[in-house]
Amino acid sequence: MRSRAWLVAALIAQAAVLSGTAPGTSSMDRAPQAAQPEYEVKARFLLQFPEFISWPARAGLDDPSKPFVILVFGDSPFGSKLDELAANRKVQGHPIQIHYAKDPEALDACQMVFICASERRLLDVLVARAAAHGVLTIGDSEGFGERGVMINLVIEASLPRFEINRSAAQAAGLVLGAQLLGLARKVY
Amino acid sequence: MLRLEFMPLRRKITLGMVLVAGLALVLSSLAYLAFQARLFRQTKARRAMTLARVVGDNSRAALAFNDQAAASQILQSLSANPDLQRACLFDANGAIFAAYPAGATTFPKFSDADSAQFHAGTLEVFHGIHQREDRLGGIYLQIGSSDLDTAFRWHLIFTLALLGVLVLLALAVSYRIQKVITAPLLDLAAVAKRVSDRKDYGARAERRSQDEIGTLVQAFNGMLDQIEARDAELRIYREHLEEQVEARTQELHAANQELLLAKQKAEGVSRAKSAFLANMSHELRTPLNAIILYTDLMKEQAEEEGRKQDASDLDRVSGSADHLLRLINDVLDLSKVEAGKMTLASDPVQVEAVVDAVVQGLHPQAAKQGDTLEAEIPASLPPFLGDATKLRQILYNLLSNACKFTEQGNLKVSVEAFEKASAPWLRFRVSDTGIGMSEEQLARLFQDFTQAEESTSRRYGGTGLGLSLSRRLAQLMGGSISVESEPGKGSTFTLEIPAPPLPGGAS
Repeated sequence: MRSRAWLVAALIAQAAVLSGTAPGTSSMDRAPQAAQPEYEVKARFLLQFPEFISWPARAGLDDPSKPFVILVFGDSPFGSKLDELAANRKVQGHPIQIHYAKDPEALDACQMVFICASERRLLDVLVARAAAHGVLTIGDSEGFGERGVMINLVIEASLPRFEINRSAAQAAGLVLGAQLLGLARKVY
Repeated sequence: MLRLEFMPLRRKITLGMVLVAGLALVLSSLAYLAFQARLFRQTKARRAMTLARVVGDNSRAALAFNDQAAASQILQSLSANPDLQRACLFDANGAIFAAYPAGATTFPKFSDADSAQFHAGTLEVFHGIHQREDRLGGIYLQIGSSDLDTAFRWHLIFTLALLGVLVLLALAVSYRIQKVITAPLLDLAAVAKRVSDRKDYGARAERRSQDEIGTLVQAFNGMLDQIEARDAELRIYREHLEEQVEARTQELHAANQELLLAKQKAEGVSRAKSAFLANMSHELRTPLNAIILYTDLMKEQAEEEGRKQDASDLDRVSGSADHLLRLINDVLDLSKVEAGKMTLASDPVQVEAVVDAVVQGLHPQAAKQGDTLEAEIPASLPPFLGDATKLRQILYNLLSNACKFTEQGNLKVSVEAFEKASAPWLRFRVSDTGIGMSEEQLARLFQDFTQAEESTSRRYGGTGLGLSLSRRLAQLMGGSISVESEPGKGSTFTLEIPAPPLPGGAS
């Protein structure tokens, strides 16, 4: 299931690269029908990022039996996709738990938070709270990276890429891997 | 092809050592090179796998976040490695994700298992890239082996150079070693050649070592010592031998001279003896004839005057004189034969007449002994050429002997003709029934002055020369006399002579 979905995404991506598609096609991607594949790729990215990042001790990842909690904050664009992908999967040896919340306090009990586009006004609060608890912040909205979200997904030539806010990660005590930094389109 | 048998020993030894050393060096060099080649490949494969791991590991994020540009960039960094011919990253589905050089498209099908294998001088490496349990993709590297070739070539050059140097070294060392071995041998060979060429047995080889060659040298010298000693001995013998031969030759010469002198002397003596005997016999006969004549005259006179005693004495004197005369005649004949002065007449001989004369001549004597005397002569015996006087003399001798040793017996003379070697011969047999002779007596029978027994001459009279003379006469005629006898039964003397027929026919 998962690999077939990945294949579809990859084929689309490659087709786009080979045909040198104009920005017009990207607008088609944003159509409600195309939103599913985009967020499937983003869900996969979400599950890959922790492998290239090391958390500070206070994140409580020393005990491998403790779950790795991914919080989707705000209105989830993933549907059931993220839950499906995370099922029976581990991150850094920990079983994954997907939480959905809209209360900033939920940030205290997770290792990674996806801040949905809907939460732009709470952004500063969320960034500060995440920094305090050593929580990795991820977003996919314009300007989020600049405003302290550690990894901000962007679409570049119809492919999902990301920006990194290194200082925010350093403030939270997180170390982002060099490979990750190398792939970042922008580093703040 | 090297002709080993004509090669000098020193070259053989040097060559052998260099060959052995060279072979060992070549083999060890080959083994070293093979080992090095294997080590090179293993090291290269290990390094290539490490490179694949590093590059693959660095490509994890690019694969995870599907960033082909970043992946491609990572691959282009491989250009720092000049041996790297091609490389590519595969995604999780085995599709080509990024390629080096950029744009290359033909790559082998991805294999997830890590492997590093050489194919025709090219190293191909596959490495799977994983993120925890997930397979992110893989990497493929194709690496040329020019570095290997270069390294190996340098190794080869170095090894060959080393080989050359070592072989030269081996040559130098073996030259020194072979000198140690061959010098005494060559020395020995030179001495042996000198001995053989110049016959110089005084030459000696120098013993330099205590090994087998030293033993050989010692044995050789010992042999030369022996030869020299033997030569000296032979020389002494030879010189001595010449002296000995000289001495013997002189001795022989002297002996020959002596023998010659002795022979001449003996011959002279023999001749003188024969001449003396002949002369003496002749000279003796003359006075003896006078004695006989005058004795006969005196005897006649005594008989006429009736002096019977004197007549009887004179009769004895006459008999003794007759005997003496016969003796002298016999001696004369014998000495003539011995001196080679006896000649035989060659006249026609009537056998019957000769035998008759002998028988008639001895008839009175036989009658006196009481013997019967008969002659058996075949009729028509042809006359032959011979000496009738000598024949008569022989027969007379034989028959008078028979008569002498037979009393009251039979005497018989028989003649027969026979052929021997297709020539006509005559055989005369004179047999008696007298006292006969033993074998010992027969053996001594024909010797001069011998009668069957010493005593017989006293008893029966006779000169003892008769048989001896008869035999010589028979031999002179080319014939022989033989005898058969048995003591007490009588004797038979057989005379055989050639009887050549008269010339001009049998008449």
